[in-house]
Amino acid sequence: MKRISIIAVTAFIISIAVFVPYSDAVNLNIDPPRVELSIKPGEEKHGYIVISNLDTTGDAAHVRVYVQDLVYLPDGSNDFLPENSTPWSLSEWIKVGPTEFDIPPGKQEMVRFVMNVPQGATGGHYGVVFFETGVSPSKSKEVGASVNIRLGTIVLVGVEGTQTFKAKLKGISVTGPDDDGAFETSYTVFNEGNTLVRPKGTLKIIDAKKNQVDEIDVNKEKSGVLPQTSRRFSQKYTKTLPAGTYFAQVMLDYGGDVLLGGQTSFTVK
Amino acid sequence: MKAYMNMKRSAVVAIMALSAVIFVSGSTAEQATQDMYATVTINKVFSMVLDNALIDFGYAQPGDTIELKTSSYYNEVKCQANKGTTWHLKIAVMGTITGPDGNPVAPEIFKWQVFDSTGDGDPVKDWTPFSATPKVAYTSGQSDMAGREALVRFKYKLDLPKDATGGNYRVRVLYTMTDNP
Amino acid sequence: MKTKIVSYLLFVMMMLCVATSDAALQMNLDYNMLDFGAMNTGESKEISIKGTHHNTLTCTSTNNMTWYLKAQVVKPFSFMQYTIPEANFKWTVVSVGAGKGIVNGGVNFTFPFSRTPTLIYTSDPDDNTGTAIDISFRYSLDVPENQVAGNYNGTVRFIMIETL
Repeated sequence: MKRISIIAVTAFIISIAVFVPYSDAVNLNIDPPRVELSIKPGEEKHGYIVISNLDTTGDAAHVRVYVQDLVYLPDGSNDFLPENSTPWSLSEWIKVGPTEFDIPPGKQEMVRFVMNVPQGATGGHYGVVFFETGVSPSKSKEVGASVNIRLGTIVLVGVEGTQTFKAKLKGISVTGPDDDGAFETSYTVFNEGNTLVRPKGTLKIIDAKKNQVDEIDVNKEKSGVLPQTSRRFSQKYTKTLPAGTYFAQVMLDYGGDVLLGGQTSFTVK
Repeated sequence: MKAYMNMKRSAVVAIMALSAVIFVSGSTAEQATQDMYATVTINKVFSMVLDNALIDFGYAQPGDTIELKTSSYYNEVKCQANKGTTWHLKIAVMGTITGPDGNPVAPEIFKWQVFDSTGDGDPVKDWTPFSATPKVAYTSGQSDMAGREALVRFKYKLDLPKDATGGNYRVRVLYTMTDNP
Repeated sequence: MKTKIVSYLLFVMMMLCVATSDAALQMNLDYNMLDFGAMNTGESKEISIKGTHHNTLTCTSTNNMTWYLKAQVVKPFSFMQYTIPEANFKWTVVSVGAGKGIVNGGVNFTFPFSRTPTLIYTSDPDDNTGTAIDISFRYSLDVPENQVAGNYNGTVRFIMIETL
């Protein structure tokens, strides 16, 4: 009887551990997630970012605010480097405050920023303001990982009257078909100017008789290319084409005086 | 000539009157309309929720491989954004990992993978070693960009080398969510 | 002589036109703006800024014929290429004043707006002889869970017509 009682109690405890729903450990929101400013040399602009603790129960969220530089990675995502690591850093121009505070559950904090563009500054400058909060591990555990989460507001600044938009298309190729029968068109854009450009446009599929078979939009997400850097874009084409020779023609508008265009041929067997 | 002029005059008057009839009868209301102008501002949301902040491997012996929750996920991050632009969820280890003997330990002994996700984006499903450089774990899809909540579920693994010291290891994991620049 | 006859006939026609040019169907909306303010994704809101209702459409007919009041979405809530589905935007007739006609679905029944004109009210013979019928409305909006942030605007048209 005693053994049955022990088993029953143990089963009850285990069932609680398995079936009790989790409660949210951290729940943060930032507004806005992106700030775009155009400022004249020697002038400044102010703004604010609101961070909210959407958790309605539990402890206050302890938040730390800091600025980092921004780069693009080959996979199209962005990476974050320490301040003043890049030629387009804005770390020395921006002041944020407060930089460390507690937000009670259900409340929000307004973090102000001042962007001061020095005289003689040119082009575009970019960075990210991070809002980071940490959750401490339980002291009773021996080995484990504690967790921080952070949300970042991307900051994009253009120095008014000094931005140059110039880019070129470096290489276009078509590979495939893959296991699903799709072809992939890849092209690289090099930004020769001093400002972020977002080349978007169309990919046309043209047959050997110069008839346009299809047209699709490329870079609809308006992903950017940082100044004096290259970025590779790719677009999958999944529709079935009859056997033959085709041309993949890319036309891009990046905001400059001219469009970028390139073409390459590929064969469907 | 006079007859011609009279006929011409009659025709002009007839045309003018017919035009008047058409114009005036057109404004006789067989239907009436009124327009109402409606507006709404949809608030921005850019949020991240983590359900379980403690990644606990328990006590590890040298040479052990410990995979948390082998048939399921260990924790999930809920991301929501409605700006209409791509966002990324990244994961990294913060700082150096120090072993029980006080010596630094390579972060690659800890690994992560996205077990599954509820959004329409691209999760990284391969086991990936942790590093100090944030790595993309999930890239949003079309619905994810329009505000639908995306749950990204993670698993974790520890491969403790044979020459490591058994005991307490602490590491801080950092989840980052940002918009596309 | 011919010219005189033609002129006389034209004069009579013009007089008839003048006599019939007073609008038989008249409609007036006392407040033509509807602002839901700021809303979150997944949120629902009902608007009636005057407490019991938001605005009133006054319909008058002297034609002695049945008339119908309809509503349609001319432009759905739009922001850039994003729209909120028409069916998420709804109206409710709160009252019809001196009207003796039939409210589609009955008073306090909620209908979704649509691009196709939808019937709101069918007049009674007593409504067709010049009595002003005041039809009052409330409106509601359900924002989908996945809706891109932005400032949306749309247009609704009320139509008073003698054909169904």
